[in-house]
Amino acid sequence: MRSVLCVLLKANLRARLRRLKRAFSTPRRTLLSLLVVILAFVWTGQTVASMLLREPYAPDEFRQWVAVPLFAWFLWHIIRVAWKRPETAIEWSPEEEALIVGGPFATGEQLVYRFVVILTSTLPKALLTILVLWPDLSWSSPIGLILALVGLELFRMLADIGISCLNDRAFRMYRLAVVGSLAGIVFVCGLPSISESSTNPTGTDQIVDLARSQQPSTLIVSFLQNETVSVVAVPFLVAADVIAGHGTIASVAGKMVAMLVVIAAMGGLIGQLYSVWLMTRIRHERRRWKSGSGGSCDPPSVADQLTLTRIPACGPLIWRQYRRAARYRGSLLISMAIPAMLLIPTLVSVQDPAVAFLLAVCGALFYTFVLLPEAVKFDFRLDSDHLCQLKMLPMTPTRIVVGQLATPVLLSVVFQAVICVAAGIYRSVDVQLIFAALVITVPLVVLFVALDNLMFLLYPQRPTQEGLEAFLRTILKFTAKSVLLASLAGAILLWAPLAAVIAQEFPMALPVVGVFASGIVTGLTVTAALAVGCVVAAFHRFDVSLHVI
Amino acid sequence: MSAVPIISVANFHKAYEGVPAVEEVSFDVFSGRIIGVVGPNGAGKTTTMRSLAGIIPPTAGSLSVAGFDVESQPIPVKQRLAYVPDDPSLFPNLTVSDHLAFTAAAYKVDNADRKAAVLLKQFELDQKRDTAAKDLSRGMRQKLAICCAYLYDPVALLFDEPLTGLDPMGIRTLKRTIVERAAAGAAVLISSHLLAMVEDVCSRILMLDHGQQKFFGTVGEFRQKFGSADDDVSLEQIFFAATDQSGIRTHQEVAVSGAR
Repeated sequence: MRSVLCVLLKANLRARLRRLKRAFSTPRRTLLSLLVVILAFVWTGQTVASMLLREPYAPDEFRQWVAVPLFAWFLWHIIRVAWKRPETAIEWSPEEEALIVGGPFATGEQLVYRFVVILTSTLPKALLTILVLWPDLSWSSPIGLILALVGLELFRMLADIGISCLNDRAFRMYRLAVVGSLAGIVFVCGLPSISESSTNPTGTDQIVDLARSQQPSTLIVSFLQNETVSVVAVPFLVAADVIAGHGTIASVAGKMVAMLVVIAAMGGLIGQLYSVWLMTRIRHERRRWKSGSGGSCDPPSVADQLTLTRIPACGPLIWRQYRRAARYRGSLLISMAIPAMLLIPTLVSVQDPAVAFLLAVCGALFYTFVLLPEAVKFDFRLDSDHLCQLKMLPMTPTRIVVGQLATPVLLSVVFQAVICVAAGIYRSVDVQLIFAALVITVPLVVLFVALDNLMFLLYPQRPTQEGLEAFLRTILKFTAKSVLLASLAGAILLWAPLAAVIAQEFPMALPVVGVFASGIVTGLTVTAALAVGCVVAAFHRFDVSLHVI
Repeated sequence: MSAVPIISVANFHKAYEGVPAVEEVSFDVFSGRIIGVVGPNGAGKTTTMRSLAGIIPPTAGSLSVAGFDVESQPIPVKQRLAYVPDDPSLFPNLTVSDHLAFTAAAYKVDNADRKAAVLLKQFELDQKRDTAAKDLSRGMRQKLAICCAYLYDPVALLFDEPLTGLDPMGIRTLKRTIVERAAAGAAVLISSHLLAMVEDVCSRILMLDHGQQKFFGTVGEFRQKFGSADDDVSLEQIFFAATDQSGIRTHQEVAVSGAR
């Protein structure tokens, strides 16, 4: 197996180099590649400089800070698998399934292959983290980071396989236990605040004061110091000790060995569980077959087809993307619920209701700008393998683009609308303010989704693409969006005095705010429409034969 | 011819989510024989092949290749068997040479370079050695999958719709090499809807319909059972008669109704 792995890894490395060479093969590609390289230098350089020049943390503080994200990641995987059961224990790509799983390799060898893939993808992440933590690093940090990240990846794998092994009843119990524990944590953490506020007639102010006095960092660190939590968090504190170089050389080296032992044990456990899963799967299948309990398909409901497919022209496309989104409703809900919950402290703690409302709305908008597009990419970006079919459809490019973009736009707008309305009602702000926020949100969302799709159509990629290319592409996307947003902000600033002049000059004495707001909405709508137009043009000129991806 | 079958399938069942896809299929393929697996879409041909290849586990029954049980001894089975699916999955960024090198390493092939060179020339891929799989045409990807399958001289060869995307020269080469491999002792299963190809190459027919085995025997027996021993009647006509057994119509009736 070792020699086969070497052959495969070397071939993959050569393939990467070829792709790199190909990135400079045409003037268009060279231009984009140079742009990406320059931007990467600017962003990374700036980040590196700011990291290198910052003051180091106090050793104890740094140690606790390192443990927090590790522990949070661990908790996330426990919750994730309780929310959405993995479809299979290990997700193999079709080619891996055919050539690795279908090849003459024992289960152990297949897992070794998987571990090597994990290790190679962990190294760049560790390198990046080393850069971020540079002023606080010690001799043991690089090894500690790599071991910690590999450990977390293995835990993710373990969680997926472990959950796949459970039968339906056991899974329901696990889910119940996780939900119960979460509710317990919220109750225990929230109880002091509630009790303090209830003893005080100005309870709301008390909560606000409490929220203000406690930084989230302090709250998380104090959570880690809780007796029960600290027992569970021991492995992460050990990892943090190694990363921070906390203690004598001998103790750090000892902890390193302990980490290695834990990783080896996890590897062994994964092997065992994977074998169990393989047997469980077939046993379950045989039981069902013998009992004659046939599965049932989940055909699209007639109502869906009637309502969505009847939308003129692009209805079938919207229906298709909607069906796709419906399949991922669980993860979609998580990706929207988490940022919404993160906005609660801001909404609660800021005194001025209007400011609190605006901060919450802007926070949600920022999330829609940066991360949500990845969660709702039920558009061209998930259709890299189906662009040929889309091109063949008897529809105009405009209709195809509208059909493709409708679902992510709708999902993002619903997310924004829920935040706006909930925040508005909670802080009792003026209905007009809520309405204005909603009206501004819609064209902005269209703009964000259109930009992502435009970049995809100009420079297509596979949805599962990872690594350096994906990182550079993210930088490019983020920069392009930032530049556009900055330009829009500049335009708004310029528009403000102009709106005042227009309002005064107008014979019917219009309110300045009205002119200003309607100008912004019009400007944003025109920009969004232009962006959609660019997507239409990009799709129209998209040459499937050139973009072999 | 050896008395021990290379491929042996006994009481094979496969169910997906409790829904049966294949039921009670049993057949043996001896060394040197080429079996055509025919049947309408959804008959269970691919499921049978994928189970034999060890990609999906059988729900019930036993499958063995060269005397090794597919379920309990998957590694020796995979070392002796090659499965070429209808749409081969290849590593998109790896070149033609990379795929052959990987296969050679995975199956521990001696003289891999020489064998690979011969195969690439035979299937007209020698000019594409450094081309990534994703940049190959559909037919070339099929040829590459066949080259990888031939590289380690398997004793059992499973082809699922092998002619898809191949050019006439590729079709001729494939047919010739299949016959050569069988003559050298390999047991071959070919699933195809192209009955002319089955007629050209195969000595026996396995017919599946709605997951059930309808027939297994020689082409002559197939003709006799469902139509006529007359060689003028095409296998296609016999096939239509065979798949229309609910009404037990003969090939003559089918031919007549077709003529109407």
